[in-house]
Amino acid sequence: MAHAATHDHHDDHHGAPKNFFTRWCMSTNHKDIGTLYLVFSLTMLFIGGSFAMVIRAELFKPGMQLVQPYFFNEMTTMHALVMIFGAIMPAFVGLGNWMIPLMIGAPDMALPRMNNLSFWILPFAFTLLLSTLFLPGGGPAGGWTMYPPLSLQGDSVAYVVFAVHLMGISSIMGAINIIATILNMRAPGMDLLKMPVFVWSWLITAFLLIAVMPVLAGAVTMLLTDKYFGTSFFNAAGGGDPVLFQHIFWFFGHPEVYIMILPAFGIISEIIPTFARKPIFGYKAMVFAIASIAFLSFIVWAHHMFAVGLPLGAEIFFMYATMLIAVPTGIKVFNWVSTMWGGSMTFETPMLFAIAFVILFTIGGFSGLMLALVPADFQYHDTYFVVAHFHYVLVTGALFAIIAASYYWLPKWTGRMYSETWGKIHFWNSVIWVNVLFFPQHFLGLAGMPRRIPDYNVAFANFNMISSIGGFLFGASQLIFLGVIVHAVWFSKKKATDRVWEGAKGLEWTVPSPAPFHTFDVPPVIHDEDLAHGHVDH
Amino acid sequence: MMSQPQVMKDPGQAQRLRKARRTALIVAAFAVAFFLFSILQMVWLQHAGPAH
Amino acid sequence: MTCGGIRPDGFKRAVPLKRAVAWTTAILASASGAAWANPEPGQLNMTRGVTEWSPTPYMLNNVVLGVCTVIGILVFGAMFIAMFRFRKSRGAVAEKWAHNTKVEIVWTTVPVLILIVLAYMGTGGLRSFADTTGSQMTVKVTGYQWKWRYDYVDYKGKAIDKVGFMSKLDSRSDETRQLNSGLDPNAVKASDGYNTYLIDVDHPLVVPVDTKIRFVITAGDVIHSWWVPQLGWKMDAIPGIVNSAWTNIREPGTYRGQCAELCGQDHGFMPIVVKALPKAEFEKWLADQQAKAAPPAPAAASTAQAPKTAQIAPAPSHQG
Repeated sequence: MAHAATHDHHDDHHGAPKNFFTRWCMSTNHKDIGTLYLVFSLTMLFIGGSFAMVIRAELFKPGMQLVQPYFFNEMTTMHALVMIFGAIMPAFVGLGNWMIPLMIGAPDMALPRMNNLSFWILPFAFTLLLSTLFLPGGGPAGGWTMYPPLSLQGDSVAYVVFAVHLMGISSIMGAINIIATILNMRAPGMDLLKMPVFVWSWLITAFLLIAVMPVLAGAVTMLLTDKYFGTSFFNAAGGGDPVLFQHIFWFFGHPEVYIMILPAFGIISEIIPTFARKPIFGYKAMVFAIASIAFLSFIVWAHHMFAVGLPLGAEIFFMYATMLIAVPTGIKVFNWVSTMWGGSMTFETPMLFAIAFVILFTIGGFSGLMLALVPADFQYHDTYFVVAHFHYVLVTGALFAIIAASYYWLPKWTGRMYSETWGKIHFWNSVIWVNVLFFPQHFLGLAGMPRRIPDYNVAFANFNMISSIGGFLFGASQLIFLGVIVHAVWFSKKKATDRVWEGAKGLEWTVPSPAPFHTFDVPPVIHDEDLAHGHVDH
Repeated sequence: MMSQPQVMKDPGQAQRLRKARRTALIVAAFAVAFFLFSILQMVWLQHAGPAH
Repeated sequence: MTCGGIRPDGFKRAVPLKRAVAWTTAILASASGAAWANPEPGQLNMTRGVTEWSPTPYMLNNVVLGVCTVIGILVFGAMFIAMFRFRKSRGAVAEKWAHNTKVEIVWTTVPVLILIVLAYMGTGGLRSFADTTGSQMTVKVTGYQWKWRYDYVDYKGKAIDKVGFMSKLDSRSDETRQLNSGLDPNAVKASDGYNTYLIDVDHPLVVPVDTKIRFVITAGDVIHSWWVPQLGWKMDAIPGIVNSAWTNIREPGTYRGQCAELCGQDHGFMPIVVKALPKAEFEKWLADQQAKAAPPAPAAASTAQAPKTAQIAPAPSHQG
């Protein structure tokens, strides 16, 4: 190994290995691994999206036209698992991998070999999970929440549990790497309170991952032993309690939804100041708000369970704690608006997606506040109102932030500009159709349509048809995204400058475009005025 | 054979890397502890009776 | 199945608006048309329901929706003004400030005050919902894959024996909902023309109006959730656990709901129908049922696979 190390030292000056297999499968380079994560996540976005198309096609009109109810349930379950663990989370890890070392002036992630492992587990985990669709007995159909006893009726329990274990191990290793990198590898002069908000948001997210992914692993392990080893953790007949699973699952599950939104907050907090050409309003408040949201996420889990028959005191506690989240979230939204106020704004594609994020995520936040009120939740719970709510925060929230980040940093990654025209066409199509898709679902839920049903009364027909049309067109719009990326990576003639955006600040814009294979071999000398948040007295 | 990670030329970076590995071990230990605790508390609940 | 008073002329029930936010309600109600009926095409808002408690979630929904709308208009309005005024193309020059303690204090405390008001309203509604004491009737609801069982436990202090039955999707909906059945869901209608596709059952739960009814809710296999929007709540039916909830229906009629917790392949096909009768009619119905059950003959076929007694399973109560 020592010999190989010296040999590779020589390679440093040449950049990436020439051999395709060595470069991508054996990579220890944060940029290449980041790219792998992003490509994987885009693939999963289209696979999970195709499941959503099946769902919306069956729901296009009343009556069963396309699939059997059991297959429909497999689709809803797989859509959620693939989108959450395959599309959104790996996309954020990919962005973190690419950008965190560049943003803090580190040469690479702290643990590059583990970085390789944490990525390469994922394709195997998802092969295992997706293979269940082709096996006798079918895939998981008990919902991504895997509530027993229903989830234990399936034949794919072991596959799903092992797949979830693998995804969990991958996430935990990713989180360990990010924490170790951010806490230790910052260039001298990059104090914690000078870090970009994106780095802060990932540091906090990584701690959430460390705390809750092992809990999910524990929960699914108990499902496995209940199914195959005769334990009765969640089996009422054996003295267990099905509700305990829900408690432990949502102790993971609620921080999990913030794992999917906090890095998005970070991204938006980078993009808006860049295109408003004005520093972010209330940097410390932004960081503190993220930290408080993360803390609160641990004490609100039972708001997913208001209908299980909790004691009155518990319902009141979880209602109050949940409502409290509106305060730091409100601060973030107000600060983004204040950042824009008095700026000098231009509206390139990343900014358009960031603005859409602020508005549409806030709408998802409003419905979240409505859901927090227990008596009203007795009506909303498990209806399409909830479906509309979490798609507003996850699609127009998390996914829009990921798309915004992709447009924002794509020129830095590829060294070429994407097509601004097609980026805008992608934006307008996405933002219109996503609302046609999800807004009517609020009405469906209020009118009484439960979630996860393959067929419905004709009273729900009109809004379902509108929603399905929106769904097909939103899905198709994402092909434009694919086209823009392919064009920018291989065909664009327009070279990107190092700074790319006029108002961009931060270390990542001081390296050439495309970012060379190795950056910051020697720590950069940090000038506070180059940083987005260099002079923090607030 | 896995590509070798970038070699640290800067003594400060090499030292930060050593500290980072220690941080990683501590964080990993927490993750393992959370996993075991999540199951053990369920086992405990089974013996101590239901929570409600 | 007829649907007696299910879709009364919209505003009959809209008149007694007790709360101070009547204007919000009026706007929302007029926007949503027949907001208090069973699901209607184009329905935009939650039903007000037909019980003593059901206006609670409805009013709370309207108030918080109003609050969110106002905040939304202010925040998004400010955003759009900023986007218009502070454009580089209009020659805007970026300012340097990035901090303002005064406004930050304002937009932290104002939301807190709004939340306190909302929390107060939510807590009041919750307390009244949690109080199941003083009920004059008890019905046990048991969820099965994929049907409901109803057992009448007591009425006006007297125990009821052997009145209980299974309730599952009606046969017309069931035939129509088969994959590529070729049947038209629009054709599944009650006698008054109301479409009952997937929201009709063979044996509805019959209950009296103006009676505080306690429901004890459990399940026999997996978790289900018993939900009739017009009663204003849903409650999970969990194997091994007995949950309780109550209702006091104010208007006779037929009220429809569905299982609200994923419970397997036919989760979408286990509706709930509650038929609320005037007290006298209900008592007559109950007497008929008891008479049918009275001869010491084997229980009716429909009760075959469920427990014959109406006793509550001796499981730990979840409701404290």
